[in-house]
Amino acid sequence: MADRFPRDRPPQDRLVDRRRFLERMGLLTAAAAAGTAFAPTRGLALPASGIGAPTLPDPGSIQATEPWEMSVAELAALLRDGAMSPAELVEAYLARIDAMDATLKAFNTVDAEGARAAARRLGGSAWSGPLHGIPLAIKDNYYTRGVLTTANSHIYADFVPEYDATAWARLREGGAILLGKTQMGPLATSSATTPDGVRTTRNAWAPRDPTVDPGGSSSGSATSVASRMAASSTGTQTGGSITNPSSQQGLTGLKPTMGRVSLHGIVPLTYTRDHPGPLARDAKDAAILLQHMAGPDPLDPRTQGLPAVPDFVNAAEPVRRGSGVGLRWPTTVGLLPGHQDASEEGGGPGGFGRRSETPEARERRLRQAGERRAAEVAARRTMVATFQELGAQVVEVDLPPDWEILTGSDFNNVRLPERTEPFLDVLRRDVRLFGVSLSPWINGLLLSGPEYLRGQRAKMLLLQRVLDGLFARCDVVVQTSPIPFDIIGLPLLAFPIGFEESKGKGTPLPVAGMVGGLPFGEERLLALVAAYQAVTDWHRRRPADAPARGGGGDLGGEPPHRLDVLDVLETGQ
Amino acid sequence: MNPTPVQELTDEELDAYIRTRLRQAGVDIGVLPADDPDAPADQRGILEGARRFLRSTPPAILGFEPDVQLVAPALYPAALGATLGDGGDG
Repeated sequence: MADRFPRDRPPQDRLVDRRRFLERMGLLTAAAAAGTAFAPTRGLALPASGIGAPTLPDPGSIQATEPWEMSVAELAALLRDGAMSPAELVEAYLARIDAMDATLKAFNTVDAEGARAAARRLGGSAWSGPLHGIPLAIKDNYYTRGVLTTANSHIYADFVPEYDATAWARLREGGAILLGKTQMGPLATSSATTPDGVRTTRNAWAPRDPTVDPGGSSSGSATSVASRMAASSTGTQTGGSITNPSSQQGLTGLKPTMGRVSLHGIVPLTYTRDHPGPLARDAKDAAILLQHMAGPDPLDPRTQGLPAVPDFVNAAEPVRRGSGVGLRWPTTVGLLPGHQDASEEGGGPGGFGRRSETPEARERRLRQAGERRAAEVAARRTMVATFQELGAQVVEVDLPPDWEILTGSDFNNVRLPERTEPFLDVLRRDVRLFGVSLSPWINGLLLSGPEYLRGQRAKMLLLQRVLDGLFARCDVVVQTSPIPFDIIGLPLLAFPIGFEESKGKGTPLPVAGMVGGLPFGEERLLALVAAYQAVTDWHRRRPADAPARGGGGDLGGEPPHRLDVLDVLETGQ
Repeated sequence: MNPTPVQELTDEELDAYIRTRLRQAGVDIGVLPADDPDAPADQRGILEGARRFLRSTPPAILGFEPDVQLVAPALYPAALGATLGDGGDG
């Protein structure tokens, strides 16, 4: 471990001048209303911000023996030293996809030949950085030049983009290899299903049980990494779609601040709330991916004029404090009311086809939800204690006024016209193209202009109250839901903190913690979780390999289950 | 005369409003089956979801009245925090 940063250098979240920030809001809102907030349709991307020489593990300290068991940082150290070639790594992952993906259904498209060609090309060139030769799984709503990009929707069934999404282009320019495109909720709405609502992707921790939610909508991205069919992956989050599947499958998922990562070349869902980000094995890997994905893009005005991209990779390098590990920056962690209350009903983040479930399935879900909730609370208490042992101050924070209203489902629905507008021509052509996802696009037509603007005003009020209230006494808030951070664009980081046993099934499922930060607070979140992961090993655990189709007994469990339009409306993001 | 609260409007009244609004926008849900639980989407489910939305969301939003002099409507609250304070090195 290295301490490359002086302790008196504050993280970027405390460099934002809040007063000027809030004053500037009104001006920029006017600019956005005048139309400058909309991105043009295509063009070349600027290269991502460069990173310094990242601290990579000593190859001699790597405990994993198989390449697919290693983190991106560990693989980078071996690829840098020539102890492994990109071609060997790609073949190792393709073999795992071949063995398990018929069961897990994490991928929509596997680009085996493209991956092999890229590996050959990279194997013949000098090591260029920590993504050089790293095979990634990319969510199927990122444009990938020459590779089918469906967003799991009939609308894009045959769409082969002519250019890459900026975020993927930057990863590729960093040396990443496209293994394939991952399953997702249709148009990024729900957990992964076919466009007509039949469940596809399984949770890697419970491949035999189709009722275990893989998390959505970046379901295939999470399953691909959790099952070690990819080194890391990308997702998008509008209402929990990175942090939710990461939580469900034991991964470290980062939803950055709005504007950190360009949305150019990503199929839009809700243009003021879509956030691209990584689903990774640990904080260091998430930092490596974000380092490449982040930065201004002339094709996305949302990325312009923001604070420069800091060194996320070194922020995620744990630091020594005396004989142990400490925090890179003094950090106060805020706990929300009810954070340790186990009485809440629910099934964890998100939902999974609740309306059409049988009474027996509902009873089982609620029982499992109660067990899961109790396990989550116990794990969170331990997580908070660990933060304190690392040197964090912990305080209880109060919810701002009108919290239930401003973060409730009605104000959350203000997003719906934003998904309708870019797809008006498709709605007029044939509503059947939306398959099971149609309802929110219809409802978006039913909100008036004044109602939409009132909702935007409420977002601003909510941000003011979060900054002045929740963050008045702390730097980081322990979250149990992506709401309201998704609504107001603040960063979130989910990470594994334990396991709960699903009674009667014998399948241990991951339990997750989640921390939220100030605008541009990714560094602090990464530093906190990297320190936590330096003294815990939850992030290193992986599920048993999934059985192959036809060779592993009954994989079905129940008949194929499908969502209907109201399921998607109630549980989708 | 006070308008009828939306919660008291009948399903038929709301369905007529929804169908008119969709027709005005050029969107035709008549191509969907009327009532087919096995279809990916049917008119019954779409209308039910729309009625639920109309009875809840617009009234909740319009019932909340922030001070319009103090709070601007903001599309991108966090991303608009593009200003570094003095001494920021980004």
